[in-house]
Amino acid sequence: MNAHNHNHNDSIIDLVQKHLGRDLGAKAKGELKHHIEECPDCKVYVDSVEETVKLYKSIDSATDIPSGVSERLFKVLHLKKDS
Amino acid sequence: MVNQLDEKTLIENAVNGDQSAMATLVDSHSARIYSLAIKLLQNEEDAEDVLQETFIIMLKKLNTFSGKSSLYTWLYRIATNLALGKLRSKQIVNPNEDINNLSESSYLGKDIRKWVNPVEKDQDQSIMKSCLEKAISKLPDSYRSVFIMRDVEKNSTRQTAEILGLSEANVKVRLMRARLYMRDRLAENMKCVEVITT
Repeated sequence: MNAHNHNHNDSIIDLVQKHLGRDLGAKAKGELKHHIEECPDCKVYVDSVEETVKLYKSIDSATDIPSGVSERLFKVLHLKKDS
Repeated sequence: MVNQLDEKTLIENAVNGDQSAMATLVDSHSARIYSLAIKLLQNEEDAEDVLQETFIIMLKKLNTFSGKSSLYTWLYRIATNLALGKLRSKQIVNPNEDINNLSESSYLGKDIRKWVNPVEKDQDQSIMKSCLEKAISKLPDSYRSVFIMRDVEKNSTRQTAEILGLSEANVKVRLMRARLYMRDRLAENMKCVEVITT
C-alpha cells in the first residue's frame, strides 16, 4: 500500500491507523474488515505493521535485570535483598 | 510479583519504616523499571541511573502515593520522566534523516506487495532480532519513546501524550512513522517480502 498507487480516501487510512492503535470501535472495525477483505494492498499494510510490532514485543520480553545492577541498586538504597 | 492486596500491606509497612517490605517492593518492580529504562535510553549506564533514582524517589515519597493507580504505574511515570529528562539533557542531535524526511506522500512507507509471516516462514529469528534491535536503536528518541509507550507498554494515546507532553495528534503521527520505519527495516532483511522500489 503506497500513497502513490493507492487512492483511498482519508477515512479509510484513518480507520487503518486507528485499528493499528487499538482505537477502533466495533462498528468501525466491521467497516475496516469489510474493506480489507476486498483490498489486498491494505491487507498487506495492516498485516505487515501488526506483525512487526508483534515480533518486536516477542524479542523484547526476554530482558532481565543483571545481578550486578540489582546488587548495586540495593546497596544505594541501603536495603538487604533478602531481609 | 506480589498481588495487589499484599502490595497495599507492603506499602503501608514500608511507609512505617519496615525495611523488609521496602526490599520486597523494590525487588518486585526493579526488573520492569530497568527494562523500560533500557528500551527508552538504549544505554545500560543511563538505565541504571534511572533505575536507582526511581527507587530513591519511591522510598522518599512513598507516603505521598495515593493508591489511585497501581504502584507500578506510579513508578513507571517517575522512571519515564527521569529517562526523558536524561535524553533532553544530552540534547542528542537526531542522526536519523530517513524518518524526519518522510513527507505526507510517503507516510505509508515502502510499497510492500507481499508479506509472509516470518515466524511461519521459519525465517532466522536471530537475524530478525538483530535487525529489529538495530532499527529501534536508530529511531530518534522522540519516536522510540512513543513506540515503546504505545505498542510495548500498551499506554493509550492520551496517556502517552500526557506523559511525553505531546498532543494526541503528534503521538499518532510519530507512532505511525515509527512503526513503518521498523517494518521497512525488517522488510529489507526478509527473504519472504517483496518490496517495490520506486
